[in-house]
Amino acid sequence: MPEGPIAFVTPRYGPDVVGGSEAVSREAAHGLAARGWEVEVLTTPARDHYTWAPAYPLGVSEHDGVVVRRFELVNEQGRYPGQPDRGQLEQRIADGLRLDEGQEQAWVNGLFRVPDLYHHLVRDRHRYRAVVFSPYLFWTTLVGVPAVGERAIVMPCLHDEGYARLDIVGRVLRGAGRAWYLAGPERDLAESLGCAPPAGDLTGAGVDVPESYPPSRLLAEHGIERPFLLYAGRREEGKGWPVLLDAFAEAVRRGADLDLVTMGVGPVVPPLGLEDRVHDLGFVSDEDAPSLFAAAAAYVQPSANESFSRTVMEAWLAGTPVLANGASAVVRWHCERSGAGIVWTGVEELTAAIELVAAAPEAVAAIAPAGREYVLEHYTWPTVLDHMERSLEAMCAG
Amino acid sequence: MRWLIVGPYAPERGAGARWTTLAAVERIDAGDDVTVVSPRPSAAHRHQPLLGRRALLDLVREVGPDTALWARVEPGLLLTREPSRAQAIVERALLGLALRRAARSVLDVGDPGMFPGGRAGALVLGPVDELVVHSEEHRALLVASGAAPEKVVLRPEPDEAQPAAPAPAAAAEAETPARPVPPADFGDLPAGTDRERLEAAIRARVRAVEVSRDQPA
Repeated sequence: MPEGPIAFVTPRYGPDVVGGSEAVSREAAHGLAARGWEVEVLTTPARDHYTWAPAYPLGVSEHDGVVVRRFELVNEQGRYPGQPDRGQLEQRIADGLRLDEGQEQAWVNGLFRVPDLYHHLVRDRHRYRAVVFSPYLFWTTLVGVPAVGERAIVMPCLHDEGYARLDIVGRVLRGAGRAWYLAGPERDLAESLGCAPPAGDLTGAGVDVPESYPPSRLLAEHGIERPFLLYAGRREEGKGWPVLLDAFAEAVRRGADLDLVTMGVGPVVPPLGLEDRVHDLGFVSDEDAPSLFAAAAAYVQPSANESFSRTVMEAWLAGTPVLANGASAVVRWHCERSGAGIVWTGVEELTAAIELVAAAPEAVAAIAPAGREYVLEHYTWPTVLDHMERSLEAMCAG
Repeated sequence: MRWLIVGPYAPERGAGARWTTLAAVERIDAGDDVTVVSPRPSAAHRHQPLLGRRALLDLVREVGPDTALWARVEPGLLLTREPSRAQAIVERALLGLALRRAARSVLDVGDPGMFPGGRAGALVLGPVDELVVHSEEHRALLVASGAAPEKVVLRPEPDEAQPAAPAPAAAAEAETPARPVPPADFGDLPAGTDRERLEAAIRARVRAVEVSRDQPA
């Protein structure tokens, strides 16, 4: 079996970085390190995925047995020479239009680049027994994977979206040695798009199981007295935040006596007249978040772009039912397997689902316990790390 | 040894980027100190315009007794695509000067037509230490132009065939006008109702709202 450390390559790393794939990479890295694997994290100094501004010092540090190497990030936001700006390229991708080679290069290189990380991978590729890249759509993965070839494991966090259909994505992912998929539909999608590496394992992602759910002090601090819906994550169009706001506003207009509480990053912008019903708690610590999940009448997952949906798992662990966007094959898959989530499609059904939570909270809450059992069976870290270790051993043996 | 490597670079595709990237990897593997300069943003250490006299003067300044030069040359990269006679001589003289100043020099030649026989070609083919070509035809052309056969190294192109990408899918959006609707009535939904029945209740509610909108006020 090859010797040497496992490296995790991710564009952002840190306990205060908001992002599902980043959290999975960080916890997998620390989990494997705690099991005796030698683990490094190769990343940038950025914390914020809007500005990519440096927030951590460059260089090498160690955190709980994991060596963290941060390489300078070259911020390229602006015009790429001879090409439309990135916003126009993003729109073409969102519209399902094909990019030519020059446009794909402009898209890959036009946000940020990390040349020193690339050359570290080239220089040290034989030192690592495996290099895990995540998520799929950033420079760190699209440029880094070819540098290590068969030693690359991609944890793509793939969504059914325009980016996944770019030529460079298919070419790069197929060139990795192995994939770690977080859910069955993600693997199906990779295979249907022709971007699956030659081997792949359904590892899932782990969720920490809180020991208890004490009453949340944050509710009193923010004057939240009504039963509430919760959304945790990035407040972005791509995550379905505007759909949730529209549905919530309509449900309130129809008489639903609920508030909407959100934690995460991105602009909230409550609908006119509902400023006192929409509560932005911003970044909430790992200590405080479980109590919010437990206190919610329901957790809403409005995103169609999910490759795992960790927050759905956290809600189920807390005994809270989930209202899930059925446009996400992954979340639908979890709801159907567990029986613990109500699947809606479109803003009208989400509006009705919110009305249902307000009108029949006990009936909705009664489906949640099956969700906790589902998470405990499939998605605790010990189970997920077992899958990852088996995959690493198979890769190194092969 | 320190190497200055010049050319299109990863993640770009095409022969130029592939050979430049490979040159960097091989020298890094040999333990050399490598700096890569590419004409466009890439994984290179820096990017800058790489065409014409100014770019060639930069090369002349940057190489020296402790710095070797590896450069990809093709029409439009370092050397102007269709130069005037004077321009061709000036550019090749500057490139030749950079090659002479470098501790060691390698040119990866994308098109031997850039170095026809005669004075202009000799300005480059004379001082360079190694010429890399990728076909027998190119090797023969360079030798016919006056390159010393022992300087010309053949590295064949690999097969670059790539499977076609799937066709992109179109996206769709739903519209929801806001109008007065009847109060929600979910009937009797006791605890223990399974998720399918809850979802059916939601769909029934949506239908009820739609029916109310279709009725005249």
